[in-house]
Amino acid sequence: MKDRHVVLKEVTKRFGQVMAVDGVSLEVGRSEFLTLLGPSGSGKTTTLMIIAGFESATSGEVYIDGKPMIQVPSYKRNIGMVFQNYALFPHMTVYENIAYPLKMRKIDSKVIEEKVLRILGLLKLPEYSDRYPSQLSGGQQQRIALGRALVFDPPLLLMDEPLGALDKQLREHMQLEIRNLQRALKVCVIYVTHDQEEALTISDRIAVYNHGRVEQIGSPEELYERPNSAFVANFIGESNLFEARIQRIDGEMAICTGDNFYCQVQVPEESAVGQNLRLVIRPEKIYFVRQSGPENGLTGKIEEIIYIGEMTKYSVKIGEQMVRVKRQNRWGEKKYQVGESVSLGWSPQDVRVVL
Amino acid sequence: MPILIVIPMSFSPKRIIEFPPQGFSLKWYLSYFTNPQWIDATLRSFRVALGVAFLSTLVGVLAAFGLVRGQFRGKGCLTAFILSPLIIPVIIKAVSVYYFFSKLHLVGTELGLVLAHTASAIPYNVIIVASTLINFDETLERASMNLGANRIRTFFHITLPLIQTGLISAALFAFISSFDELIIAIFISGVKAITLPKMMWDGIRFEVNPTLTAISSIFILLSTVLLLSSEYFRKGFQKKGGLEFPR
Repeated sequence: MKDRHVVLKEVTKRFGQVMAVDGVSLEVGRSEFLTLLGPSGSGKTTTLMIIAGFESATSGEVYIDGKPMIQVPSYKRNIGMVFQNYALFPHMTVYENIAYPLKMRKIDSKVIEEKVLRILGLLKLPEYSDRYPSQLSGGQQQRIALGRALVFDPPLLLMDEPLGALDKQLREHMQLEIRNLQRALKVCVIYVTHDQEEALTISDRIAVYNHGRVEQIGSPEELYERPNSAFVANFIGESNLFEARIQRIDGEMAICTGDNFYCQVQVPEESAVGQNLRLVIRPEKIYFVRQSGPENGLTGKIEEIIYIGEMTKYSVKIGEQMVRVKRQNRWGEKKYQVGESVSLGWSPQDVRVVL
Repeated sequence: MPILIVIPMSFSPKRIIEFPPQGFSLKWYLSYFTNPQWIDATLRSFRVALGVAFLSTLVGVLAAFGLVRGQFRGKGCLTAFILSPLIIPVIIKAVSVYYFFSKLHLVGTELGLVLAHTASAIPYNVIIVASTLINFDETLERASMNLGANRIRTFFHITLPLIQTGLISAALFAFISSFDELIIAIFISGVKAITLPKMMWDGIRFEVNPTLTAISSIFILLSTVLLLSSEYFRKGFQKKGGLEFPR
């Protein structure tokens, strides 16, 4: 990536015996929207705090716009940030809150007024400038926090679970609004969330965190369609994991068998007969077949059926394993009963070999 | 209620303290305001109390910041040490300060009074300021620094305005505790630096003068005004989202 704005090199943060961030390297483009996604305690927020300058890295380097940042104090980094609880100053009005970063930069008060009013207009909140934060709703506070982080035109905006406190509908609305604002202002955004749906909706690229490391980084589509690991496959969307052993290799394809099933998969080049593989397949890529074909075959009993509107979810017991299947509710789709014996199938291209 | 009885008594025209008063007169107030000794003691008490309020709040803020924010070995021991004056009887404090200060020639000086009163006010101050600080959301300081303010500007723009109710409560408390303190004053005042409570004490011991009832009434009025103003201030401030110390 030649137009990169933020670069992290082997950044590590240790709290006592715990490796909060463990050798993370990232590159973020100048007007890219990167999301750090992971379960709580996986190191994504700590990474953000290191970029913002609130935590020092135990080792590694952070570059912003080509300049090393480790020695630069947070107030000189010129980074906008939206905090989880907004961190609006309760003793200042909306206007004073948004004007604060400009005042700290000793900008002329006329220019400050112009910029603050422009931002309030952009956020569609011009009539609120004299209110105190405690007099605003959660969604309005969220916008003010966003306005305060953007008013001084920072080239980089950090967001730490900014929508966590909002209800679902407002959250979905704000996701689109943040996305549109980011595209309009062409600002680089690093966004932290544990909500995979939010990450898929909002990001150009997603870095999936697990135990202080980046498991995989890529576009939403790459991560969903081609996960590298069982963790990523499970964290982003639902998936079924199978253990299997290679029986025969035929060019790029291999025939594998596992408990009560066989299937064909595309295998990595260095695979050998007898090797154990972990296979991932998404529930919506599995379908019911009348009879198992040569590509794959597994037969089991339906244990549970859940109707969720656009889809029906089935749990099928194959040997000891529960396989999840999702089918769209279309006309002509066969209705199944709990306890019925069924055969399952899929396209070999829909199976992923993971670590 | 017994306290309030003093007020009508202070308007009595007679030379003896009586209740209910027979008649009405302001002569005891006049005797207070025209006696240079009383006025002198009153002004001294004010000066000392102001000094104590300022000094103990300053030390209290610094100590509270260290204890709440700092992470170092022996923090528990240091906390116990700072709060230890609370468990020492006042008379012991007074006697030991008296011996210590007499060597330093501080007995009979206003500075000596300020220092002695500050020492007893500091633990309360630390408790009040620390409990305000514990409730303070440090993310606000981070936000301020992220927005371009260094530590000093962050303190004056964000931290101080948000904890000032705690500081004002602490200062008022220190002021009142010094202003009506008697036991330490008896020892440290000497003959030259007599405070108002010391002078009242002497007044009770040597002659029961109804001027005392006038002074007591003024005292009550003053304390009430101080308390009400701090309450008024606190409420107005809370509306703006300021922190207060838990009661």
